[in-house]
Amino acid sequence: MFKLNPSIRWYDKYVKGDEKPEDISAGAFFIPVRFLEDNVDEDVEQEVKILKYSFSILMNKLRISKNLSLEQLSQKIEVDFMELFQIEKDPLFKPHLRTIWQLAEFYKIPYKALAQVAGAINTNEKLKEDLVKYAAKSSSFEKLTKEEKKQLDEIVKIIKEFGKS
Amino acid sequence: MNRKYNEAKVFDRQNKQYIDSKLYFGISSKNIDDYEQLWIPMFYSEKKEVQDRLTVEDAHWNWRKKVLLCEGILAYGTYALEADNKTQGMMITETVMHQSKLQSTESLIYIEFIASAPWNRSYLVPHPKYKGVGMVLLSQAIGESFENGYEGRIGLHSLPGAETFYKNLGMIDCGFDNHKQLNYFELPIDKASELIKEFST
Repeated sequence: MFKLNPSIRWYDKYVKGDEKPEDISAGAFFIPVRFLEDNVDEDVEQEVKILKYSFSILMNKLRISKNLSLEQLSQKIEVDFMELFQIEKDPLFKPHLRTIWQLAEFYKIPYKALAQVAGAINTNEKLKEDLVKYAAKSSSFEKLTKEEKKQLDEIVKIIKEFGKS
Repeated sequence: MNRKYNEAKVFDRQNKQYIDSKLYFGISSKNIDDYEQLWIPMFYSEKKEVQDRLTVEDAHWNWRKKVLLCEGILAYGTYALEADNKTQGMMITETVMHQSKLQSTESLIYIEFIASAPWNRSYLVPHPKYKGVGMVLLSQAIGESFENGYEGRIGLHSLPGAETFYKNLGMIDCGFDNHKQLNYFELPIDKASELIKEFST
């Protein structure tokens, strides 16, 4: 075993120091939300497809509501442009957990709730219903109407509420 | 069983002083009990910020089994930091199989798992207790890397909330790893030797 024996000065610099971020959690031991893998029955798969479609629309509308292009968003949250593009255009695309985290932080939506919307299993039934309803109402214009803005605010509120429960 | 240990210090935030701790080689059943009985309940907080941030809730179900498995394999090093008679942090390293991404022909110490007790994290409790748990554990890993002839190289997959900590330390963000679904970070040798050199200043 390596003999660890730092001086007090070392402790003062690296331990006491200034306010440093203290979250140190690392390692794949932690891998959190289990995404659906290949061998699931078709009904579930269908449900997940619909849910992911809602996620695509939600991400698109949220971005437009902030008046950002895909490129600008990509720079702001340090996520690859192609991945953001795929999230919006390809409902079957499986986003990375880190990306969902970045998006959740940026849009101030609870991470866990957003991860579920993004297609993880165990999604709450009520939330699922609301999302599908929301997706059905949405058009594909690059600008939000007043009505669309209202609908977007509503669904985000529901997701946030869900994050609290 | 007598476990080997290093004397170490952590900083008591409330009393503003260092307290002695022991960094044990080997995770004992007491450490696993602490994890299950003291850590896990605190992860189930009702606070919204916590809910947003936590990603560990699924991790515990086979945690004991995984740790015990690592205990039995020579290539794994397991460490527990104890202070105030409680487990303050734990780390599991792998010393054989991982290659450096910064210098592809070189080996390194790979950190399979590292975590501080929930009461030391400000997003979990209003007044976190001890500071420096992660730094002490990580320094031990860097030291082991030198002992293994890996020149201080260590690598790990950081959880999103911890990326800043590793960046501040001088670790290089090697980007997203599809397999682990997390970003991979590696400590270059100059940063490692700088950190260890300062042990004796």
